[in-house]
Order: sequence, then structure tokens, then C-alpha cells
Amino acid sequence: MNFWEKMEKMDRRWVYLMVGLSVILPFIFPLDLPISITPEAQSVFDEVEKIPDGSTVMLVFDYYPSTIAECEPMAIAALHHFFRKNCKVITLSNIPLGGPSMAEAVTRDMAEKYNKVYGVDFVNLGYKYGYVAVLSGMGQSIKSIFPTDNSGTPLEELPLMTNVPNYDSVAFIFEIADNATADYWVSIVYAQYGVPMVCGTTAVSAPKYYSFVASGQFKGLLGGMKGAAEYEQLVGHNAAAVTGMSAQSLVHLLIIFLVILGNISFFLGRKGHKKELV
Amino acid sequence: MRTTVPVLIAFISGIVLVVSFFFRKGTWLGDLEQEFTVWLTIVGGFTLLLGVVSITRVNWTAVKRKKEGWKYKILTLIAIFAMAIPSVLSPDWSPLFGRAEGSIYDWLFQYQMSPMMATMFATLAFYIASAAFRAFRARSLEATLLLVTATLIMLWRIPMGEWFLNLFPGDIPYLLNTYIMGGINMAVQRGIIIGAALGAASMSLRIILGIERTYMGKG
Amino acid sequence: MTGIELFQLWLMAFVTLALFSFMYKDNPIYRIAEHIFAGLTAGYQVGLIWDTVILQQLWNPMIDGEWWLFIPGILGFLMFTRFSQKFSWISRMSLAFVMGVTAGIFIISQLHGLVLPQMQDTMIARTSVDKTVELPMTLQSESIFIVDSTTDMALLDSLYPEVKRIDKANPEEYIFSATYTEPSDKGMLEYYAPICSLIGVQDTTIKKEIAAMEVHDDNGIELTTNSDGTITATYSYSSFEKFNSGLYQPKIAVKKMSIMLILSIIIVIGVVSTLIYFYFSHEHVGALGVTAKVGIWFIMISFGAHFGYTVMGRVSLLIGRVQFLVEDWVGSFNQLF
Repeated sequence: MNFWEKMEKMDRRWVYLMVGLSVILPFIFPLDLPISITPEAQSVFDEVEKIPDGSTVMLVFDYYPSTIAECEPMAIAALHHFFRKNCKVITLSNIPLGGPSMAEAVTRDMAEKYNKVYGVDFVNLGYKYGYVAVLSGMGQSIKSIFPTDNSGTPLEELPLMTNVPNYDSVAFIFEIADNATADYWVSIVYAQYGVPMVCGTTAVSAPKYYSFVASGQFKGLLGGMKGAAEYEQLVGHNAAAVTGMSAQSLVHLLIIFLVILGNISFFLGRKGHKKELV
Repeated sequence: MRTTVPVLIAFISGIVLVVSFFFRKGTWLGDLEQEFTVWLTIVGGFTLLLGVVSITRVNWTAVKRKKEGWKYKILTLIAIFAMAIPSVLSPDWSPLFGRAEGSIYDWLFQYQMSPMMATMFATLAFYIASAAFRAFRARSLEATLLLVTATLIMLWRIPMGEWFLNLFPGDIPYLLNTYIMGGINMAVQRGIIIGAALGAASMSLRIILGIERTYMGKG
Repeated sequence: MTGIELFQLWLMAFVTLALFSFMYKDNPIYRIAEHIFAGLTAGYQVGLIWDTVILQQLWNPMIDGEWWLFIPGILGFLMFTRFSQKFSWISRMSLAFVMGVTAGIFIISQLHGLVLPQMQDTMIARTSVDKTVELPMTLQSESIFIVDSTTDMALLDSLYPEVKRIDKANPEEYIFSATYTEPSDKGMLEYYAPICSLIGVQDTTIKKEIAAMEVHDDNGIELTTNSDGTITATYSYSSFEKFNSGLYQPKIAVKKMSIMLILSIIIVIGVVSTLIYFYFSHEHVGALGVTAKVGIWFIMISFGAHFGYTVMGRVSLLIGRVQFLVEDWVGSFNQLF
């Protein structure tokens, strides 16, 4: 067995160790790397800027705790952006595992920083089962789908919600999703009610949503942690996503190196094996 | 009765939703559509409970029959009840009940469930790195196309990689974003979206017309 | 950091490390964490559905008078007949309702919301903006003041006596126009698109802050080519609902755009060949075979991009956990020692 064949059969835990070290090291020795802005992320920022100050907007927490690293920085940056513009923020979630809890925790934390009052400046509608029905039903009446907010307060007792009967009163939707619910915001809400919307999504889903950006159904797109870092930078609140970019760089380089190494060992190993057979 | 009634229910409920799209505003059909969507959120909600009851039954049976790993399944059962029981009790009785901040439910979510779920998915990074090393081979033209594109995209999405790509003439990051992501990738994704949407629409029509009945199961 | 906060932090770190320990090898600590996790996710849904569906959607509205909600309530309970071999067929009624309503929403949303807009966009050529030219306007000096019930009219009269007022509650059509003089030089590969803006002039005395606002829709915008090759852009706006009350300066600009021919062709070929590749009703031979072959190349490039992004996504999730361990957990060590 030559070196390259040994390489082919290397214990996978060595790879795991290399990945682990590549993620940890940049947090101990941080690198200050410039982050370029893609047109898709710039559009997200520009679209939010265009909303008249004080408008009512929806921020949708359609992600599971599993993708918190990618999606939460987007939600935090969006809240900075909205609260700075004095927008009234309605949050909701179509995710039965954690969505409403994350919306509650993140929004309350941010609202405290901007001295926003619950019920007046922001409301968390929480979760209801069946996103297809929820998105469709809110077009006629938000109150019939969400008779109360997440903590059980009737909507008529929340001043913000008394002026928002359906999508007609919503100026903008910021959908943050790690799953196919984003498709239904496009196919039901944008198509039937025309509310302008942007999407922040995980890197896994981002390539798909380029087609919605091209067709104008999404006005902008944030793809994964890099997208979140771009938006953080545009909003002027560098946080977790920007910090994570150094580790992201190192692991990508490691994986590219592993792919090249794997191919070299594959071809040279095969060559060596053929020679042995001859 | 066992087949005809469900087919009729699916037909009526489906047709109401389709027709009301055209005559929604201010008509009784619009009101009925709204009522049906609210009903769906209620009936559908029970399906999630059904899943939980099913998980509990499976684990309970495994513990009762002392199947392999039954001791661990006791922990699953304890966790289910520890999360579920305080959450359904009224918060008027104690701030530990219900779902609000400070409740047992919220505490278990914030400090146990959320970090566990995030970690479960984080382990995939190790597997994908290992898979890239072991299985990502330029064996054919198609595989090479996949490999080269993936490598370029991985480089482009990181600051160091972008800097490296900019060493070459021709603004490679712009070309990747415009022609690969916004061009070839977008076209393929669009083809898949159109194909899947046509499939979903035709399947929906089959359900409403009672041709597709597999959701009913056997019997 | 209080003792409880420290305990919570260490608990989170413990479960994180317990699950990561599987990367070395399967072990009882991992198994314990894994099984607790499975139980918690199931239990979480009970609390959520109990509160958001059974109480908020069903029980409370019913006791408030919406008695007819007993129908979905019964349909929901019928779902549980699935656990009985004898009566499981009854749950079909509930399932049929769920499937029927979902299918009804799907038919419309998939065709109207996805297929048509996506096909429509495929037929439109891609364009790039070459430059944006701000135009001199015939009514350039004119500003408008959008007023509503909050406007201090006396103050306005003293500060801006000459400025035209438009009442938000009773808007009239407002028209301004400009002429673009640069002639076309690329024939068909070039066209012009208008951008009109109402720029809010900041004035702290009248209204605390008014953001610059671009009217980016095409409503009321007209572009006409004159016989001398110049272009006149006319813009009319009659609804001021979305503007705050305040002073605005209208501006008009023209985007000079060109068609990205190669990109437009790539998109058409990509969409058609992908659809054909996934079309299995005919054997892929002849022209169909060639197109399907092109389709597979396109698909491989797209999947490559997808793989690159997937790597990025998975790594990001790991970064999130490591960030927690290194910054929060290790950071808490100095509290202990």
C-alpha cells in the first residue's frame, strides 16, 4: 500500500479533527477580513430603506433552532434596521419547533435596546398549524387566524393590531426561513396580495431562491452566514455573522484542500494499484 | 361510506377554495373559504398531537417489552412529560406553568432543546468534509463540472477566496454571481420549480377529483 | 453572571459536548442526550398545540359564541381513531378535509404564484444598468408640501408661503416631466427605463425626519421618444398615502440599460433543458436526447453550486456552536476560578 492509498483509507476522525481545529483557531486568533457585498444583499438593505418610516412590517421567523447560527443574525440585523426606522414590527412563525419561542426571545431583547413597547411597536403573533392555510387566511383576516398573540392576549387589546386587519396594511415582509415555507410566501402572499418581500435563508436553500429574485418575487436575498454578515455590515451592526466569517474562510479552504488531496490520492492510488496488477 | 364520504369531503372543501379565489371579496364564498382555512389550522393541529401520542406509544411499548435500548427510552418518555405537562397547566396557578418566559417549558427549550438541535445539525459539517474528501472525485465530465463549480463557489463565498479570485483578470466573483448563480443555477432551479409546481397542481387536482386516494391508506 | 446563569451556560455546554462526543465514537453520554432531545422535541409540540390551537383557536372562540367550531374540533379528535384497527377509517374524514383544503389552495398558488411568474420571467431578457442619468426637469424648481391633519398650517404658511400643498386625504394628480437628450447608440440592445423620486427635504421645524424616498413603480410614468431622438419622461402621481407629511423635491432620472444577450440565452436553454431532462414520458433519444444531455450539464453545474453552498451552510452551523463554546462557555471559566 503506497502513501496515496493510505491517504485514501485514512480514518475519518482525522478529517473531523482538522475541521474542528479550523473552526476553533480563528476564534482564538481572529482575522479581520473584508466582506464584499453582493447585489442581492444590497437589494435587501435598499428595499428596507425604501419603506416609509413608521410603516407596519412583518418579520417571519420560519427557521428551526438547528439553523440559528445562520438565521438569527439576519433576524437581529433586520430588527435593528426596522426599529431604527420606527417601523411597527409584527412577528410570527410557521415552525412548530421553536419558531415562536425564538421570535419572542429575539424581538423582546432587541425591543428593549430601542425602548419599544409591546403591543404598540411590536407584536408576536406566535404560531398556528398549517402554513398554507395560515398564509392564505391572513389575506382576508389576520384576526381569524390569530385570535390572540403568542401569549394569549386578544388582538383587539393590542393597539398595533387594531389597525392591521390583513396584508393590505402591511408595507413589507421580511421572511427568514430554512425550509420551503419561503415558497409559499411567494406563491400565496406575494402572488395574491403583492406585498413586497425579501428573504433571508440558509446557504442550503439560497441557490433555489435566485429564481425568485430574478422574477422580482423576492426583492432581495440573504444567503447563509455570508449573507447575514453582508447585511450586518450594511446595517452597521457587525455581530455573530461577521465574526464567524474567519472560521468560515478557514474551513472552506480546508475542504477545498481535502477535495484536491482526495482527487490526487484517488488518481495516483489507482495508478499505483494498476502498476501492482501488471 | 368509508371511501365515498372522504372523497366528497375532499371534493367540496377543495372546490370551495379554488372557486373562492375568483369571487373572494365580500361574498359568502369568501367567508366560507376563510372558515375552512381556520378549520384546517385546527384539524391539522391535531395531527401534530397524533404524532406525539404515536412516539409516546412506541417508546412505552419498547420500555414495557424491554427491547434493546429500553433504558434510554425511559429518558425520552420523561423528557416528553417534563416538557408537555407543565406547558398545558394554567400559568395562573404558577409562573412555572404555561409557555411564557420563566416557565419550565421555555427553560427547557432555551437551555436544552435549542442547543441540542443546533448541535445535531452542526455535526453535519464533519460529515460533509469527510464526504468531500472521500467521494468527491472527478471521474467523468459531469462529476468534474460539479466539482469545479463547487470549489469555485466555496472560494467565492469567503473573504480569502474572493481575494484570491480577484488576483485573476476578468472579475471572477461578478461572473460567478451573474452567470453561474444567477444564470445556469437559476435556470436549473427554475426548471425544477416549474416542474414541481406543475406536479403539485396536478396532484391537487387528482385529490379534489377523487382520483388520488392514497392518503386514505388501506382498508 | 449569577449562579443560575452560570449553571444554565454549563448545562448548554454539557449537552453540546455530549452530542459532539459522537464524532469520536458512539457512547452512553451521547445516547442519553440524544434520547432526551427526542423527548423534548415531542413534548414541545404538545404545549404549542395545546395553547395555540386547542385553547386559542378552538376552545376560547367556542365559548365566546363561535359554536360551529365544534365541527373542526370533532374532525380533529377523529384523527385519534387511527390508533384503533376497527375504527381507523373514520380518521379519513379529517384527513380528507385537510387534503381537500390544502389541494384547493395548492392548485391556485402553484400555477398562479409559481408556474406563471417563473415562465413569464424566463421570456423576459436580462438587462444591466449602464448608467443612471438625472434629468433637468421642466418644473425643477417646484417643490410640494404633502400635508395631513398633523401639519402645523400656520407655521407652514410662514416658512413656505410659495410651496404647492397637496392634501393626503384629498390628493390631486401631480405631473412633472423631463427630457433626455442622449441619443441611442446600440440599436435594439439598449433601452431606457425611468426612475422617479420624491426626495424628502429634512426640516426639523415642521416634521422631525423625512427619509428620501424613491418611487420605483412604473405607475403613471410615461416615456416617449421625440422625432429629434430625445426622450421625454413624464411622471404623474396622485396617491400620497405612503408619504409622510412634509416637504418634497421631485426628481426624475432615466436608467440607460442594455440587454445581457448571453445570460438571457443561457437562462432559456437552462430552463427548457432541465424540464426536458426531468420529463420521463418519452425516451431521451434524438433531439430530446441532445437537449437532455445539455440539461444534465446544466444540472451538474447547478448542483455543484448547491454543494458549495451546502458546505457553507453546514460549516456555519458548526461555527455557531463553536462560537458559543469558545466565547460564552470558555469565557465563563474566569467566573469559576
